[in-house]
Amino acid sequence: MKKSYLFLQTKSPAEGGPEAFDLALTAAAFDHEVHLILAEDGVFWLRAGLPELVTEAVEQIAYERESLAERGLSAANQIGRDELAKLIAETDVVVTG
Amino acid sequence: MKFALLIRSATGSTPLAFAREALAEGHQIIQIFFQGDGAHQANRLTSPPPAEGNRVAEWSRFAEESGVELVLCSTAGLRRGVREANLAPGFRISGVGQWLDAANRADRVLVFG
Repeated sequence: MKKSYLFLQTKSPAEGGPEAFDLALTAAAFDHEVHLILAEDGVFWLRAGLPELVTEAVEQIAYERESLAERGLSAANQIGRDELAKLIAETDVVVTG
Repeated sequence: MKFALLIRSATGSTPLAFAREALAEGHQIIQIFFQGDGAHQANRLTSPPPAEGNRVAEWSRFAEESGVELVLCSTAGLRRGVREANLAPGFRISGVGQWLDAANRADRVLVFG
């Protein structure tokens, strides 16, 4: 059985940079189930724009609703904090950064 | 239990303390992967003031004593000027695919960063 991966990006583009997505891209390239969740200051990727490579390779990308609201932002694909907690519990490997 | 460790920070003594303790408790560490700013911990030219302790040297000593694989992410190293020429003993350079392989084999993946 292939493992599922959740990458939780909490750093802003200024702090994290595109390097933060290297691991997610690799897991996606090897056909794992990959979720990318942007939370806390990670939601500022909405403004900067995620690298095209990431949006093409990672199927499940969502912004945490509460983090967006706290920063006055809005995104089409949102995930609530409760739902995120459930996803973390269900995923095999959770990588924070 | 089989652990894979991912280190993404240039500082902090917790990962090494965890690794030593886990082995002492009879667990296995299949890989320690240094990515992002964690790459700084593989630079043998690092020379902090003696009072602060030299974490790079401690990793090298740990690798020698334990035989645990320390892997530096090649692109993270290139971004920060860590390459074969200044790679600390006990480390080897490889790609992110190596991390994924270890993560797939491990019972638990721990992230420090």
